[in-house]
Amino acid sequence: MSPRSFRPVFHLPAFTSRRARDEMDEELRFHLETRAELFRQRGYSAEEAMREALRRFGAVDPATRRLEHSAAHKEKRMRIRHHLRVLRQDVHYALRGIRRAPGFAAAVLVTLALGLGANTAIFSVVRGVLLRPLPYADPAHLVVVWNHWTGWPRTWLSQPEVYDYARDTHTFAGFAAFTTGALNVTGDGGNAERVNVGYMQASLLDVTGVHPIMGRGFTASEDQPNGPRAVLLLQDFWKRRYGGDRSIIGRTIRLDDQPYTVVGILPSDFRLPLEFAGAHAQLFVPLQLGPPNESQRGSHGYNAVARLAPGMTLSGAQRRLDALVTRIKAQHENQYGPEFGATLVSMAEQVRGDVRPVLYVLLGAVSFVLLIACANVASLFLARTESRARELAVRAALGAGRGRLATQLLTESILLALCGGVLGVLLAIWAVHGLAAMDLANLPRLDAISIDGGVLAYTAGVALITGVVFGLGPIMQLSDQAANEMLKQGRGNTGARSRMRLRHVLVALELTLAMVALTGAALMTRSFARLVSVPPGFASDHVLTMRLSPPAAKYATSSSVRAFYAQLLAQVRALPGVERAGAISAIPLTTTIGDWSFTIDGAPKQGSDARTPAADWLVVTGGYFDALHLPILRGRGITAADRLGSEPVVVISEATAQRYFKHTNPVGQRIKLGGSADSVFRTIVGVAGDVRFDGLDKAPRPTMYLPLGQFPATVPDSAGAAARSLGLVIRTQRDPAAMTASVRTLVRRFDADVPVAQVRTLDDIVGRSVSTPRLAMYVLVAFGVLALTLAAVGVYAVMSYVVAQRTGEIGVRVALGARAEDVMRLVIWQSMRPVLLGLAVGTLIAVAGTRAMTSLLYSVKATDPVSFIVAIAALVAVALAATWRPARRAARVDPIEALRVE
Amino acid sequence: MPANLPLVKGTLDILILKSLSWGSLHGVEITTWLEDRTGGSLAVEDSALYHALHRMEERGLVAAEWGLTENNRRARYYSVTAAGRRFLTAESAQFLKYAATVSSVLQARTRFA
Repeated sequence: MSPRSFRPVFHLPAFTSRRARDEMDEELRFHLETRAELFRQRGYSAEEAMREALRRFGAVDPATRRLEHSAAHKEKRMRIRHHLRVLRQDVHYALRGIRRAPGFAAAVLVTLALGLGANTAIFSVVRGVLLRPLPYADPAHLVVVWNHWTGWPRTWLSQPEVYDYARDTHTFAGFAAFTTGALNVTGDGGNAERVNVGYMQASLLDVTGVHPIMGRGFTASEDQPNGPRAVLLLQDFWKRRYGGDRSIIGRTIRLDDQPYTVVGILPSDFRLPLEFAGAHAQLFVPLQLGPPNESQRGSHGYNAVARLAPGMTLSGAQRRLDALVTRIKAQHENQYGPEFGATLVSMAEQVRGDVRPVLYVLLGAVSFVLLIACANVASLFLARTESRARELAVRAALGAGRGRLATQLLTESILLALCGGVLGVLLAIWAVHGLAAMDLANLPRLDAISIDGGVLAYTAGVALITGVVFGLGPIMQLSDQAANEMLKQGRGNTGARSRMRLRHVLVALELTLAMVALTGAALMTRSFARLVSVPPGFASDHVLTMRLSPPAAKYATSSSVRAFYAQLLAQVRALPGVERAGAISAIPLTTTIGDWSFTIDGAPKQGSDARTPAADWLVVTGGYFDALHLPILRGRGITAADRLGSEPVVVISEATAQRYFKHTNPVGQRIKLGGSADSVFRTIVGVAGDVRFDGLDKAPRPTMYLPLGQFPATVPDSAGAAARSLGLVIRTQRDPAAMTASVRTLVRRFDADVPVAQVRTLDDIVGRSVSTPRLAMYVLVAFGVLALTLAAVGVYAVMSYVVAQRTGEIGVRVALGARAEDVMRLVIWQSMRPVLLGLAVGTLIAVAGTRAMTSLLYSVKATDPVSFIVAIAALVAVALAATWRPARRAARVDPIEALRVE
Repeated sequence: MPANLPLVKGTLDILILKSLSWGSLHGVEITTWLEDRTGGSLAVEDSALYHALHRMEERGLVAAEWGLTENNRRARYYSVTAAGRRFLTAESAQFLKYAATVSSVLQARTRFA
């Protein structure tokens, strides 16, 4: 090999472009001068010789510039190619190394795949739920408007309040009220279907900045009571039910048997502001709020979204709204108590506020798992570097610099990390699919979760960092001195003191992290156990529920609706296997309900210090309380005898009694609902037990139960104002789900035009209501177990290694008379030292860290000693188990064998 | 001055490699060698020579290194690498075959052989 080709072979430093240009200049000067000199020797004058040299060279100026340029470029390209060649070499080398140690590679890959897979899955959820923008224009300036009073930080607005608030155009650039419900879709040739519907003011699309993908939004006249009936379809519904037929615009479909004209299609990601979790509206119709109606001031049932005026901050808007509410309260002295107010909640907080803590805790836990995985892999790498000490030393002796060796080791670790990342992404895809199938009613924006480019970039980044982090350990060992030592030592023994310390540090670190992860899992498990053991106020076992909606066309009058339920329920009760059956306007834990103000007969007119009494109201048929085993604490429940003509009655809940009849017996008292729909005094005939209607973790709200048979009392029968859509609750003798078919058949025989929807067991409904904490618990427990396993593997690997390294020393001890128990005790004690240290540090970190979980925990303190003890006990047990085998191996060391190896 | 012959594309590269096949030379030496061997009949500007050298250096056909001339001046010396040698062998064989074929056609005395 000619000496001039050394550079590419030995990777001598390549030139910079600057230097390439200078050299080119020098070469040219040399060329021209030498050339001129040659011409002079041929008899040219000095001047002519130079001119001839220049002429031969070509046009000097552009030619030199081109040459300089070409020289610089050449160098750059050569440099890039050089780097690529080095990289290819390193990758090749790394692959060869990995192929030579398949067990090591598999252990690393599995560990990393688990760590990175868990991270990818959680990050994809975080991205979908927290980071992806909401489907509104400029969502940062959107707020949800709530009322609040004692015990209810966020509650509905009444009809006149919507107008009061919307009028403040200095605060709000736009304001739109909305609410939700469900309607039967018919009249388009398809099956009758019950569909979630959003009722919204025409302004809602403008406020949220959403444009129909086809057609138009609602006009002002459509939003007037008795205005033209118009409906907007969600893109998904349009595709599903109408096959995306574009001619649907302008066509008429029937909703609860009323004709509605389809005026537009809304994009598939459109949601009403409170419908990002669970089911959402498929159809939208105008709210038709009508002119302000003072008789409605006490009846709260509307939500509202508003866009802040330009330049208005959330706190500024809140201050203005507070002042406005003070004025409203002054105008309507008797309607509001002092604690009444209005609250603005930013859209992001509204949608994500509840889940943000859960996701942060999961993200934290999953990072810990990854760190443990890194620690494990780092200690695997340490062992591997040592077993390759000779090879590395030889390479160093042959002239490979520390930098080159470091790059090669790093290439290997990054390569493994990236492969682990790829496997992890596969795991995560599987996990996210599982998540989507989990029916998480309370996790918002589930549809926005996917493994996309952003998630992949995140995983690649984390994998890269991971590779660098655990690749650094072995590199730190690569000091020249260490290399020399390696070569001298051959099979290293005691010189590896610092490496041993590093291993022990890794063990301690793993235990620290595992301790935190496990404490989190234990806390969440205990909290969840407490949450699901909260009595909801009824017996959820053996109850089947479903929603029925007799269409208005067929059941136009209130009495026909009442007759429908009375007859149907009688037939249901007669079904074999059915114990009890009743119906209610809203099934607990499936929705929230509005309240209704009332006055108490004979109670003194309220001063400004007390709010008008109000309670959430439900309409029930006879049999409801029995079917749910909902206890009647005083008086009686609602029966079939409570019908028009008999004495108007109402049953109130315990919380209502506590709040408004503290010092008297409510039974026998009379109340009258506000407004004109039910303007009669109703006698309280009973007090029912409280039901946790809004969630197991939510305190029961004051509630009243009105009999379907006599409510509403003061609306003409022909208006058909009786609660039309009711949930059946059927207590069965055996598995309630098994009764589904027979009840469905019965309803179809009874009236085929009545759709049956939301067929679920009550147990299922209760389960769904706690799906988010359950998910959090499952994930945290999974991570805890993973952490425990990884920590055990880590301890086992290190201790096995330590015992193997110290065979000689142990042999000497045994030769000097140490008994097997002594050796075991020694080994176990030595391995437990870093374990205990890690646990101690982990406990401290856990005490500080689990505080972040406080908002997730139900009636368990973040410092719950039981959880900590469980975590410590589990880790100590696992660590002991992991040390057992290495310690036994140590105890069985044959001194003669051991010393011979030495 | 003899009539300048335009250079067939790629020919300059193999001529330069040929000039280097006895040992390393600097730019002027390559130029004068070419002039001497061709009687100055090739239309090559000196700058084209350096472009060719860059190109070949990048492709790893030649290697460059600074050295000293007989007069103790710093000059950049070029030499053929192993790859350059293989390239020269292959390319010159092909060129010779090509030249022979073309000249045998051009020297034909009858249309039908």
